[in-house]
Amino acid sequence: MSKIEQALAKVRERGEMMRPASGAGEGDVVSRRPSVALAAIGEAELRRSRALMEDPDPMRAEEFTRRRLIHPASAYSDIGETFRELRTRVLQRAQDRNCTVMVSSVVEDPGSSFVARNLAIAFAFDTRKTALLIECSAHSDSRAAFGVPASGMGLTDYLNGDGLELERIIHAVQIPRLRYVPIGTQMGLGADFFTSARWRALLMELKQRYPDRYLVVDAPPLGLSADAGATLAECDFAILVVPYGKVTQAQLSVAAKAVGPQKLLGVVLNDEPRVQDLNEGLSPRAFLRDFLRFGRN
Amino acid sequence: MTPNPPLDQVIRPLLGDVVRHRRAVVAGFVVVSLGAILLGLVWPKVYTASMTVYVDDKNVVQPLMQGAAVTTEVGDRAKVAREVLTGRLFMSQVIESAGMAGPSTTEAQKELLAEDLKKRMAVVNIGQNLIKIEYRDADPQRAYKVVKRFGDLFISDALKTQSNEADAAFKFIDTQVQEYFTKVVEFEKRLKDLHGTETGGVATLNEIMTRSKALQDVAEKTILELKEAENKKSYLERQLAGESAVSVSVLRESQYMGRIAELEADLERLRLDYHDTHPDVIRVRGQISELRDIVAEERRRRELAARSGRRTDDLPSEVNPIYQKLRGEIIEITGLIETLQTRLAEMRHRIREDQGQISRINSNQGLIDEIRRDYEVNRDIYQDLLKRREAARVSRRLDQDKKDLTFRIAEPPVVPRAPSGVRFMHFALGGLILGVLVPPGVLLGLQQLDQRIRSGATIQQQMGLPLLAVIPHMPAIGVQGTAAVEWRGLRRVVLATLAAIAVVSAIKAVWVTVP
Repeated sequence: MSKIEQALAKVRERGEMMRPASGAGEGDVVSRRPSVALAAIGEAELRRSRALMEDPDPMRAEEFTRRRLIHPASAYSDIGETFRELRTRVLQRAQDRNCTVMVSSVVEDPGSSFVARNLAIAFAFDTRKTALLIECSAHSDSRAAFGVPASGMGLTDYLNGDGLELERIIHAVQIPRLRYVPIGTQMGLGADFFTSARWRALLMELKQRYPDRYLVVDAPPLGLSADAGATLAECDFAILVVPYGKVTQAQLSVAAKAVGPQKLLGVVLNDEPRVQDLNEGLSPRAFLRDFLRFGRN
Repeated sequence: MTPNPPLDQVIRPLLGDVVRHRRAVVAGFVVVSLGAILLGLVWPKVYTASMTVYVDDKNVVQPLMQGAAVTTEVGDRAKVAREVLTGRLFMSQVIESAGMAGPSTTEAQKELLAEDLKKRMAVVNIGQNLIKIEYRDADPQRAYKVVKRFGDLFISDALKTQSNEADAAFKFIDTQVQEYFTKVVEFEKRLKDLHGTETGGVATLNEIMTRSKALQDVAEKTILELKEAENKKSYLERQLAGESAVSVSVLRESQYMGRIAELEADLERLRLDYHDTHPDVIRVRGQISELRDIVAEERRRRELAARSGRRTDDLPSEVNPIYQKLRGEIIEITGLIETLQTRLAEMRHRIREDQGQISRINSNQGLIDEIRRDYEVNRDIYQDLLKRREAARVSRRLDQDKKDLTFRIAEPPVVPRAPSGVRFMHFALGGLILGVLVPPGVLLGLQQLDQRIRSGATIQQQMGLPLLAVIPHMPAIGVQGTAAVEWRGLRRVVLATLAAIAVVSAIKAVWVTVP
């Protein structure tokens, strides 16, 4: 390598170091590249919107874990870390503007709701952002996880067109800066909800009302439901959730084609078994400990 | 990213599935290891008796006889031995001597027993010269008996076979030699017929032509000699004829001429003393002219005789020694001429014969060549076979004297004390190993059949889709203690299984030692 090349490499290295690591911290995302929208609304407005969503009665850390929700203090902090990285990827793609992310699966699987839910929580952990989880899948288990009763008003009730106020379907879920729109009680009526202009208008309004609000749409499996296809058109990006050992390559590639490369943010492999448990669970040390305890019991 | 992605794509999903189906994996371990123990308990005991037979074919004689005799090749002895021993004859002998079959056993039952026996015996080559005969049986005594009987039979048969082999080889070669001898003789006869009988032999065309040429040369020489002799003879005869006429008359003439000369001398002397008219002178002159007349007469007669060739002379020939000599030579040369003539006739006869043969050969050349080729080939084979027969004779003697190959028992059979084969300990250990290996193996096999996505690498590298994250499983009951409790339960099951195996093995060990 010539001296000139070495010098060039050094300069390039320094450039890398001086550039802020993209999405590494929570605070630097906004400061790095203030969007036009943010500048127009003003910092004071943003602070007000976030203050509105401060929950007076937040859940405790153990409760998070029990409900399979991520929390920085949880025993499964590695999962929380994974979701934070996922959030960073979304932000990179969205170029720090708020966006609507559709989370869908390839097959009927509660894993996609799990991912959607926790991705929304990951957004909400950033104190400069708020998140809204919109549930479009009838099979989602998020209501139980958030402790919202089945009778709670939701999306289908609103779209049914009974003049329901929007505030009635947005639920606080004991997590700061996170709001939740359940599927609602009117599920028997089928796909008409998600092909209606009202649904499009709702998504538009929810996205545009607060510039720091990130929308996560928990959608039914792609290809299995027409709702997912109709909803996809209204979302900025889509994430495909692949449950471990349940989806063939053919199924995944069909779903990926249905989304299209423009909107497909990427694929998430979910529910990978914890191989590290094997090291702990069947280690000779553990056996020895159990063997010694065997005699005492 | 690991340096070895393909391995990672196999190992990590496999471990993932082991964790996912941990209960099934532990259950599989318990079932396999305990099953193996149970199998070990009911597995029948097997006693193995064996004997080793030493087959020595590398002795002193072989290098000495290298090339001269072909030593019997023993070959894959174990295979041969097995074939021999599992033959019907041996089998029935062994079955009877081992007490497996009594007088009441039917042929069908014997057949089954023989089949069983075949399965339980093994013949293997150990090293160059050792054959091991093995037999497994539940009864150690019987195992011993069977092996001993097999060994004895094998050795006696091997010795017999070997000797027979050399003998058969010799006999075969001998037959061949005789066959080829007949053939060679036959071909010789046919060649002679084609060439002609007198010349005998099997001379080639060239040979005959050379011989004929030589004969002709000699004949020509003989003709010359004959002519020479005849010339000489005619000359001698002429000589003889001339000699008889000339010699006598010349003799007489010269006598007369001598007398004339004497008389002329007397006349000269007388004329010195006397006149010509003296009576003495006249008498002498008269005598001289008389004698001259006689001489003239003699000459005339001689000329006449020479002209007519007739012997006018009546004087006996014996008086002339030259004549005698000439007569002897003539007789001699006549004898020579006769000899030469006889010889010439003989030569001409032979030349004629050769000419006839040459023309015969020319007309049959194709056939003769063919027969000659066959004759030569057969003759070569015949000569080669003669040598081989001698080699075979020596080989046969070697085998008959048992100097070439020796069979002896290297290790005699003994009654087995301890059971052989798979023992309880093997079952226990094998069960444990299989118990650990089989369930993951089954999972691996299932994974190969079930090609559903189990790894981020599949999505990213094989399918080329962007992989955002791999999210580990989050237990449904999210208290960490719960997973630990489940693992502890599984560990206890494994420990209990190990304990059970240990206890059963201990009891088994005591059971074996006590009685």
